[in-house]
Amino acid sequence: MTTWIGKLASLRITPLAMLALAIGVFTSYRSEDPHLLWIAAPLAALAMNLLCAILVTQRFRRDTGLLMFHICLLAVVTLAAYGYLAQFRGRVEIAVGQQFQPEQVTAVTRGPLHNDDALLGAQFVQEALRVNFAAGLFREQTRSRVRLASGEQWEFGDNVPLRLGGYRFYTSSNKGYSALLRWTDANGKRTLGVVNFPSFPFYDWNQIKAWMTPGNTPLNLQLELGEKPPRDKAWSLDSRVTPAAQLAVDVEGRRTQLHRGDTLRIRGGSLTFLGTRMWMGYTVYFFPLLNLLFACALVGVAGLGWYYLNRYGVLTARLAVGRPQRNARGAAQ
Amino acid sequence: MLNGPEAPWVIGALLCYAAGLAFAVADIAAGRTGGAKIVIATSGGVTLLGIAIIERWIRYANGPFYTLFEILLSSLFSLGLIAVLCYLLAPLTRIGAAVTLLVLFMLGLWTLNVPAGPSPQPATYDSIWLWVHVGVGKVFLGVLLVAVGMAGSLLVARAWLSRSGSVRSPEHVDELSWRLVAIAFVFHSLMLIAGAVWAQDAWGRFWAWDPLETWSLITWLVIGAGLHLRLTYGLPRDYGRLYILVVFALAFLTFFGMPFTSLAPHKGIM
Repeated sequence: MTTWIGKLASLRITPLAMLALAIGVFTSYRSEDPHLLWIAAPLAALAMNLLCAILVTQRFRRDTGLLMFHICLLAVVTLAAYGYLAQFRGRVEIAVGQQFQPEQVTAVTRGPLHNDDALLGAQFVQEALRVNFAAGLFREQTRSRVRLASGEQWEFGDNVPLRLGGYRFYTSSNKGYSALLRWTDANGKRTLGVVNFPSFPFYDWNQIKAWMTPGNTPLNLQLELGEKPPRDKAWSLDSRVTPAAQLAVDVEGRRTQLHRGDTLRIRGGSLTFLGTRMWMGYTVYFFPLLNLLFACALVGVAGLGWYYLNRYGVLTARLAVGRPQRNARGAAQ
Repeated sequence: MLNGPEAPWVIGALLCYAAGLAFAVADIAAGRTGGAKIVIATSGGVTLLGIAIIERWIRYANGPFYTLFEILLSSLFSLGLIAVLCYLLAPLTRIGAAVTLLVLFMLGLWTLNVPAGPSPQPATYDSIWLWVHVGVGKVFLGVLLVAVGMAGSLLVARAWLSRSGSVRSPEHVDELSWRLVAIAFVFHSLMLIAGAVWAQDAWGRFWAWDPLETWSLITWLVIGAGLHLRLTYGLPRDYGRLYILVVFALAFLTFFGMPFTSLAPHKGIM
């Protein structure tokens, strides 16, 4: 057993596996249909080589820094592999006043080990939001305020996420206006909801959304905002400022303009336009043991730095006069 | 052609680098190891570039991170600074000054010919990790540039250097250049880590295989493989020198090519 571990631990495998991994990464990058195996196979070979080397290579016993680096490297590979299997990345839009609902999250990537029920632990209600723009509609700070299940208010945005139940909620560049609508069916039952229009001000020229009523009537909705965002000066998109807006409803070839409070009778019920709100788009991210991954990477590099510091010294005159390089068998070159 | 307020400083710095290059070539021709004039000329260039960066920083209230001009300008400064530090701390590294300063001079000519206008700073880049990421990245490239200078000098003019007596022990130069590659490897690793933390904050993911991330990883793997190849297979000296040139070419492409050729979030940012 020691023999095959020793063979697998050979330092002669390491550079070849690293170059194979580099080629695998390059091939995946260039390919339109990359295969996981191109990266996974050399990475697995490298991890196996590393594990065996850590177990049997005597040199690691002498150089603690080098051992530290290689153990941490193996830990990083293992944690990253597990993380990718259990990760989740998705998108969700939440209107002001609306509660976060996990079923509304659109998954972008979901690892096979990810437990979707874990998202139920994230509970909050969207409150105010504000996005500042410099002249030229260049987006600056984004601030979003939410109320947590505990009643506590929390403000975050840009590079500071909301962290709930292991998930991170990042404000995205997507945000815009919603139409707050009330649907009353033939039996008088009322349903309240929002329809989010395309991102604003990016699509300020195209605030149109197709929507199906609960009574199964297809509608085309167009939000007509009174003012265009100014391009020549700084400006803020603020949920506390309600713009003058009308809702144009196209149903069965007929267009109707609704002001706030207006009701339109449609087949199966009636639709009331209650006004506008803002919505915020979030990136929802989960990657288990992310902090541990970071710590391992950092400790590993510290180990490598320590090793080179011991071996070469700081950038001093010692640098100029090298010790003879030794190969894997210990022979001087 | 650059004609803004930075122009006199950058042109002055380029003249300093050109003077350093001339001194380095003259030293090689005269059979001397690089002299103090190289260090003085390069330090002069670094000082002028430092003034150009500070002046621009005050004018636009933005660090030199965003446009190609800013990245080239800050690289000219930081790579020159690292070279000066190496020349002071390990004088043998001056043997590569001709190649190193030639690369810097060409980088400077490129700097003079890109638009120098400002670019607004996205809010997500207001992070200390951006500074760490860029800072250690510059150290990585600077140390690698000194190593490539030494390897390139030996590769191009080995016979002449040996004949003239500039290099009495090429093996020491090789050893030192590989030590610098090892140091660069440590800083490259730090750059990847700091970049991942910054990306997590800025874009909500620490790694997404965008072109710059991918090429950085390839560079890291190629350096790591090189260090192991030399240790294990006893890479022949000329191949070793060539390998360092390849590593630098990869790193250079990653730093100055990828951010401006892709539509990924890294576009235009380093």
